[in-house]
Amino acid sequence: MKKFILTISTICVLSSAACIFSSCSEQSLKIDYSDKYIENQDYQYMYSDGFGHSSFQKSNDGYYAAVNNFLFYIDGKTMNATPICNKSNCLHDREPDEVKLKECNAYVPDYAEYSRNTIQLYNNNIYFLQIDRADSFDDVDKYLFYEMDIKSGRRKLLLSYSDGKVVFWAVHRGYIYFKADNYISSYDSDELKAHDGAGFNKMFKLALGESSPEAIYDFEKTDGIYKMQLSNSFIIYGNHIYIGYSGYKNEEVYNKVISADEDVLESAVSGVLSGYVHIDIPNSKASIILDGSEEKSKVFNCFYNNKLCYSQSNNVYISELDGSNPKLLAENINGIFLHDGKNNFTSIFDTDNTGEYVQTIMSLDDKLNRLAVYTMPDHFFVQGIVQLMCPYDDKYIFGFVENNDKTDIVYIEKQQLESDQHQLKAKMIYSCKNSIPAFKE
Amino acid sequence: MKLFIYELRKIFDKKIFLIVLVLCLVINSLLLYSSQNTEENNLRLTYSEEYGKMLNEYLSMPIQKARNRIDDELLAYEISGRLESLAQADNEEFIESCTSELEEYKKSNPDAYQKAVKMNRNGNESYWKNSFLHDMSQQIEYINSYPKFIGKMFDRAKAQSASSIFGDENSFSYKNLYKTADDYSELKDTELSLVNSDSLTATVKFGLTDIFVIAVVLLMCFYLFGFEREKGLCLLIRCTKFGRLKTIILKFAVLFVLSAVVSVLFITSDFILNTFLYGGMDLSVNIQSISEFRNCTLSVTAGQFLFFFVLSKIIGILIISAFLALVFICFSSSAAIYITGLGIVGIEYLLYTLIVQNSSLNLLKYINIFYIIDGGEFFGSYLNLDIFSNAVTSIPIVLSVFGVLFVLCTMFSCILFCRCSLQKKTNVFSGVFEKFRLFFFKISGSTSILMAEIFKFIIQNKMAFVLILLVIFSVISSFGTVQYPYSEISDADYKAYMEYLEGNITPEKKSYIAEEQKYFDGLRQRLDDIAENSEIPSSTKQAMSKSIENILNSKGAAFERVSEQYSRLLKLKESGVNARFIDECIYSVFVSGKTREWNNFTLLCLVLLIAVPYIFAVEYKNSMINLIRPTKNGKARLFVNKTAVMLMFTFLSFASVYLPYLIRFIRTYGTNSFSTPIVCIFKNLQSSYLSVLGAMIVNLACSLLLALAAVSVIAVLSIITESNMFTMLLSTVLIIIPCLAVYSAESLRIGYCIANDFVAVLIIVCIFSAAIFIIMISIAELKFTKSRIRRAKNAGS
Repeated sequence: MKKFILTISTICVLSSAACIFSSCSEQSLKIDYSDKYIENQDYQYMYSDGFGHSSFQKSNDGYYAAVNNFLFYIDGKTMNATPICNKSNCLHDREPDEVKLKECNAYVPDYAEYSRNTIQLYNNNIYFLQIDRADSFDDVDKYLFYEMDIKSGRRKLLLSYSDGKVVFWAVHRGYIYFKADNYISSYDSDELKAHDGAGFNKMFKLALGESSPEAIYDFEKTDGIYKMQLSNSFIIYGNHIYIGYSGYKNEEVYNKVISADEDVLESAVSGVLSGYVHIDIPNSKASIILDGSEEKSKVFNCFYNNKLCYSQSNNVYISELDGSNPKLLAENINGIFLHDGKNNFTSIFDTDNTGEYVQTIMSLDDKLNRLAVYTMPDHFFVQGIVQLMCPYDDKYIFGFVENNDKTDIVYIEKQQLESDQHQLKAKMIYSCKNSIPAFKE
Repeated sequence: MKLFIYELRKIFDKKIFLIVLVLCLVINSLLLYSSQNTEENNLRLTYSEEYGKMLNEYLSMPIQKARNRIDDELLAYEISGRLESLAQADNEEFIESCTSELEEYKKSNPDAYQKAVKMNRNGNESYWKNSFLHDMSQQIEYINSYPKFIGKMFDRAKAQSASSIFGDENSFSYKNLYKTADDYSELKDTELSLVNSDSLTATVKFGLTDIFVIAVVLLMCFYLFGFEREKGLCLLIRCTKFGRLKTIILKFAVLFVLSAVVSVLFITSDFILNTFLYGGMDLSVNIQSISEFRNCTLSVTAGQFLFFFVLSKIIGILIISAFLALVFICFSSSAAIYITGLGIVGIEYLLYTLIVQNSSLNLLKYINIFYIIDGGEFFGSYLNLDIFSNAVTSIPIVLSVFGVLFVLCTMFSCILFCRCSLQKKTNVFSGVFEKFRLFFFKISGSTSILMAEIFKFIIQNKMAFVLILLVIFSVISSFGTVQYPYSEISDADYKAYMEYLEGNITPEKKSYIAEEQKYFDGLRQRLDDIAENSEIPSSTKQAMSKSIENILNSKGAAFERVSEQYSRLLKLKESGVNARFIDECIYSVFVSGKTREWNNFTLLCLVLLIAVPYIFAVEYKNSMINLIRPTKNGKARLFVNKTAVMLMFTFLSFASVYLPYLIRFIRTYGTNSFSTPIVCIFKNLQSSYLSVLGAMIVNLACSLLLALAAVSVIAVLSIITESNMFTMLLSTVLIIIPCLAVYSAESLRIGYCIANDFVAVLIIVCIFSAAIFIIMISIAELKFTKSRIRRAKNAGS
């Protein structure tokens, strides 16, 4: 009898488990490891602000946008936005009750607590990072990596990371890459004391479907730079990861900067360094590229015909993706040089007579000569300069307009950059209510 | 019918059952009262009658008129507030702006202004009225928004399904969107009205009642299924005409009837108490009038909803009672029953509370017994489950799953009860274990009573195993408990400063602080110099400034904390305190670790309530109590020895739970600051005689006294009830449930009392615990040593 009961119970348990987990199986993606941007499997660097934040993602037939902790789908044809929630009895961002608001499927609280969230699209899933703050001294902060099925809104916890602080992250070619340190401050590595003598500052990767991350680079082991400070400038392209840094030539230069002796200050100027840590993903090997003194620093601009494009002073250079073989592309370029796959532009930030920021775009021809200048709409801000010219989206420039109690998701049609109208106009897609006051940058 | 009554009497003849039931009701009511009597609810509870009157006043007028009137009143309160601020202001700019604002009010809302002036003249009328007006204003806003919420349901579904991600007609999302809109369509003519709903919502939200009901059901299961088995009476039933079938059916009938009655009893008591606290509720209004039930699709009144709520509780409790009955029939060991029964129910509870509704594992949350028991959610909100891409309403599917489970549990219980011998059996490893035990541990020849008791408890009842498990668990769980509590950027540098400064304030430390102050002043000056220097390129300036700002933000901020502590210590020194530098981050957690304290004490109580019943109840269980002949000292000597074993086990368990953390702490941070007075740690503490070591000793002493009180209660229960299982159940009700209830109340900790110098509370806790211990041990001694009671009982049974 007991055997019979045991058999029946086992069948019941197994069949219910099969029912519950049957919908969770995923189709794996066949990865192309070519050293160039591959759509649908690579980190969408063009929507990133260069610091690992990306509020927009492109899919085959539309876009995903995340703002004020809510996730929206923008239909590519109609340009209408819909909260990604499949409940018609839900008011989404307009819900006045905080408990019900958090039950909305489109609610994705952001780890950085910015009003503009960071999301990543990969293999029909949205990825986001949430933080579970320690509520007592006995507890620690936990960084929670989630995968969300866009159709059902169901989310799965991929990793609960509590060993340190996650600074930036990206989903790329089947892995989540993230930089974490367990220093209390990530800014000045020397002044920081590692927790109980076991401090680290590393780049990790986590294979999707696995639960333990693997360290791929230890920033502490970078030679030749004293007091390396990672600038949080972060981008992934093809088989390469780029992370910006600044630092000092040696201890002597650093001491000159932080000493109170005014005479030694100017002599330290040439010893302040900057550049990029470049990690070659297949080999997990790192090198320092685009390095030099801060005085004549090299700044990453964009990718130009599958080359790395950077500027130094007013000159624009291109090099191989690993920083080798640099060549001059153009001289005396005013503003930040950008390339969207077809056209060339520069982006210029300035202030007007009233002290307000004004952003203009100058379009350039193939030989990088000036064609026309366009002024961006008032109060329009984009996620970052790189995102401004989505290379694989030749139609729109996405951005936000913030009002008192809401944030509007807006876009500019790129067609306007070919017209005679020099004042660009933005169209609103969705006005998202600031239901939960979020920290603003 | 006779048999039914006999089975019923098995429960009601036990005085202890009635006592426990009443006790559970009282504790439940007290916990409900304390959960409602919060600072947030203070106004609502104090002026519940006035709230009712106000509500009736606005109920008698049309909703729009009520809204206008409330808005006017609120405006008058706002103006009155401004007038009061103006009367107290001394800032000219503020006075000017406030005056012009008031002038504006006077012109635009003369009535509200006059009312405000009148209110100010008569003294501030009442703060509570303003708060209630806000509450009613929100209710009216909700009532006005509801028709739109229902009316726009199809539009929302249409808008959502127009997007390509929800556009697939075969997908769950598409079906869910339209099914939801369909299901809500019947509610479009629902009329809502203002209502005092707090008594209902408080009843629905209070979940602790379910735990008490489950505990009482567990007790009933014990009386119906465990008691006879423990006494070996099961064999007598087999020889009746219908075998055991009739008996088990009637046992289940009694269990189900009583479970339902107990559920109704507890919910009724909750509702009555809440009505008493918040005032009566009009049960004839539609349930959707309460904003918490906006998503309820049942077209019912509040009274009918209350009925559905009770019904869902009854259904849930019946399923749990059927499951627990099966556990009682399947297992014979008390510990196995306790761990299996409560373990599985506990896992279900954790799955229900920890899984969020949009998790990929949400079927585990909703196809869960606690979803049914949470009647407010089960009937009060709307949910469709994704079953093979179909949107299926949760209520029928969950009820069918658990209906099948209920039938299976009852059926298997009946079959097992009828077919199996229900004798205490040994398992397959018993023989091996017995050989092993006899080889290593055996008593040969004469031995002392104490040694015999220790042998029985530690070896025969396998408590050595429990103790070893406890030690291993405590040691493993202590890993990572002694970590520096980093929470701010400056913490690492603060720690480094304190490593140097810790201890007495010496001249060297004073000069070090002065030097550091000078350094940071210079660094700030340096920052200005860099900003003003026009020869350095801006990017280099930025990099240099960043380096300095980083130092100021981390080390500089840490030094400011040190400097602030230093000036506070100097003041303390002036008042005669032996002020010393101490790391506030480390030692504030050491003296008052709220989570640690709760975890340790609850773990200790859990171990004690599993182990201690075996000391006294075992002789009753195997009837050996009759063989213990009265010696010269009666049973007193045996009682003393048993008590000694109990105390030894308590001390060992206490040490196992508390020592690993202390050892780790001392190994990590040493004992240098143990003599530092705790006033140096807590800024809000004005005076205290305790040092860090003293505070820890007081904390441990209080915890030990509380543990001893708990142990003495368990011992008395085991002697009175003469049953391990019963003692475990009662102890759970009396000790573990209150522990669970105070988890979130962080002020109910010994460490908190020490950190806030609540000496009187600490003394009361100690005296109270000691008194309980002494009284309980005396009762235990009296009960245990009086052998006549036992004989009388035996004769009776």
